[in-house]
Amino acid sequence: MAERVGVLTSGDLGDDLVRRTLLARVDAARRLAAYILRDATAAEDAVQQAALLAWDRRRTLHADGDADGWFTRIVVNVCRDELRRRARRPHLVALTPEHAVPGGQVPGPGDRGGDEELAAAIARLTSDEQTLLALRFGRELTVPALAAILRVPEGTVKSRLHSTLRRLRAALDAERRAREDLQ
Amino acid sequence: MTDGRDPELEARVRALYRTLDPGPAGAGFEHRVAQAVDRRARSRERRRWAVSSAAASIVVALAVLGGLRLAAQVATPASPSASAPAPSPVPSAPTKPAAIASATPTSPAATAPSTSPTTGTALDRVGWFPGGLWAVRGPSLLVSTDDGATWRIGTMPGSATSPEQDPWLPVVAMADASHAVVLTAAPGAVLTGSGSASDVLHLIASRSSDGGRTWTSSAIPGNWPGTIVSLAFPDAQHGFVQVMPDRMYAGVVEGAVIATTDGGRTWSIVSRQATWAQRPLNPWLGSEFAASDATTLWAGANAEAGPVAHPVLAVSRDAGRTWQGVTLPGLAEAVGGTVYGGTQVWLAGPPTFTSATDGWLAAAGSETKNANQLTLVFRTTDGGRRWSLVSQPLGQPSGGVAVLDAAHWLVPVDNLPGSGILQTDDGGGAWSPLPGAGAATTPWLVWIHALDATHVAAATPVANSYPDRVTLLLSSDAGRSWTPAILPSP
Repeated sequence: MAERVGVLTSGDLGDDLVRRTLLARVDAARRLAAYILRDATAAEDAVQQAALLAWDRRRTLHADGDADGWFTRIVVNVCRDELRRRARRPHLVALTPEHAVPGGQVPGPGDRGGDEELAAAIARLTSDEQTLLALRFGRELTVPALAAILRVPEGTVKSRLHSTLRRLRAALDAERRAREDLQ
Repeated sequence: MTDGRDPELEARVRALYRTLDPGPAGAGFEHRVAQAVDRRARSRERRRWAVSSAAASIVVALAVLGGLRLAAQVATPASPSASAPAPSPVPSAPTKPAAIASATPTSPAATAPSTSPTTGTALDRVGWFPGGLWAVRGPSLLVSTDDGATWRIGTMPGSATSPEQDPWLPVVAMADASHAVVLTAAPGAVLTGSGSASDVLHLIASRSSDGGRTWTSSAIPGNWPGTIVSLAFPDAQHGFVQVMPDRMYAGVVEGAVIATTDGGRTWSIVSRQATWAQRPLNPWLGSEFAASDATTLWAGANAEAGPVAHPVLAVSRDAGRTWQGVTLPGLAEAVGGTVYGGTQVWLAGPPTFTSATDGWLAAAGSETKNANQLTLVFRTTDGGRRWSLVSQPLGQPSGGVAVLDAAHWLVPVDNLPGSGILQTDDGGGAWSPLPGAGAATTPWLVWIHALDATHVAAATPVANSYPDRVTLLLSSDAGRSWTPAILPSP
C-alpha cells in the first residue's frame, strides 16, 4: 500500500521520515531490481544507488506524494540505465570456445536454474521492454499500477505490453536460430 | 491466441521470473543501505559548509588583493579557443568523417565532467567532419569549425522525424562544413517489431550543400525494416549507406550497402548482405561502419549481444561491392581460435585514420585465463592491409581511439578503477589514467575524437533520456579537463 508521507521540506524531522520511508522499501525494491536485472548482486547495488538518488531528490517527494511510486520509479530508472549499459557492453566471458554463451550474456543466477533460452531472448530486448516484462510478470503489477509507475495512459501500457510480447516471440526465434548455428 | 495475447508465453515468462526471486535479503542489506544514506547525508552537510567557507575565503582574498581583474582570472575557466591549437605532429588530425548514433545512457552518477560540474546541452546526435564538429538538437543542425567555440545554426530537413520504433533514425553524416546528408524514414513506415515480412521501412536521403540551410531529398532503393542504418561520407560526392540486419532479425531480413557517387542525388545497391540461408557465402557485416576514402569501407562488430557470424572487422576496397575479413593479430589466440564478433570481442568504434596510411583501432576483449577485460589497440601504417597489436591495457574501451599525434593517444574506458580515460604518450608503450580523470567524477564517454594535438571532443550519455541523447564535452588541454559544449539556442 502506498504510504502518505508528510511535508518533507527541510529539518531533521523531515529527513528522518524520508530515511525511514526509504529503508522500509529497500527489500521490495531489491526484489523488483532482481526481476529487472536478473542478477541478485546487481540488484543490491542498484537499490543502494537508487536509495542515494532518492535521498538527494527527497524534496521531490511532496506532502501528498505516493512514496511507493516515487521510489519505485527511481529504482526502475536506475535498473533501466544499468540494462542500457549492459546492452552497450555485454558481459565478457572467458574467451575459450567452451565458454561461448548463446546470446552473449553471462546467465544470471536465475537464468541458470530456469529457462535459459527465454532468459537469453529477454536479454535481446531493449531495456524498456525488459523493464516492462519484469514489472508485469515478475512484480505482477496490474495495468493501472503500471500506468501509474510509468506515468503513461493505460492504453499505452497495453499496447507496449502487446508489442513487447511480440518482440519477445521474435527474440525467441532468433535465439533458437543462434543456438542451432552454434551446434 | 486470438486477441494478440499469448497465454502460453506469458506463463513461461512468469515461471522464469519466479526463479529470479532473490528471496529474503541478508541481515546486513538494509543496514548497508542505511549506512550509505547516512554517509550521504553527512557528506552533503560538509559540502554545504565547504562551499560557504570557500566563498568567504574568496571574498577575503579579493578584499586583500583589491582587484576584480584577478578575480576574473581565477574564476573564469579558459575558453577552448583561448589558445591557438598547436600544430599536430602527425600529417593532420583525423581526416575522414565519422558519425555516431546517439549513445546509451549511463548511470545518473556519471553525468558531470571532472572539472566543470555544469550541465551541458542534451543533443540527439553528434559527430565530426574534417576540421569541425556537428550536432543535432531537435530541428537544428549545428556546425562548428573552431573546436566547438562557436556554432552555426542550420535546420534538419523537414522530414527528419522517424518512427518511434526505430531508434537509429535519423542518421546524419557531414563530409565537410557545408555538405550534410540525413537519412530518415519515408512516410508510411510499418515497424511491428516482429521482423515480419510485411514491415516497411523506406529511407529518404536529404542532402544539403550549405550547412543545413536548404535541403533536397532523394529515395534510397529497397525496403529495410529490422536493420541498423549507418552512413558514411568520405567526401562530398561519395557516400555509403549500410543497412545491417539487427541481431533480432538476423537471418530473416536482408542487409545491403548502398552507394552514391554524385553527392546523394542518386543511390544504388552495390552489394547485399545475407539472409540466414545465404550466410555461409556472404557473411553479415558489423554496424561499426566507416569509409576511409571513396573506395575503402570498414565494418566492425559493435557490442551486439550475439552470437553473430560476421568478422570482428571487415574491409571493402571496391566501394562496398566485395568484403573480406581483416586479420587482427593476437585476436585469434585471445579467443581460443573462435571469433564471434560482437559477443566476445567487439570494436569500441570504427577505425580512425589520420592519413591514407595511418590508422588506429580499439577493440574490447579479455584475457583467456582470468577474463580480465582488455583494451586491444591496433595500428596500421599501410592503409589497413596489415594491423599490429600495439598494446592491450586493462580496461574496457567505451569509445574509439583519439589520436592527438603520432605518439599521444587517448582511449576512454568504462570499468577501470581510478580512470576514465587511458592515455599513452609513447605510441602505446605505456598507458596510464589521465590525471584527474577519476572514475568517480569522469563521465562515461561513449565517443571521443581528437580535433588536433590539444583539442578533443567527446560525448557522454544523458541519463534517463529516451530516445538516447548525449552531452558534448570539449577539452583544450589534451583531455585533462573537460567543459560541456555551450550551444546556441535555436
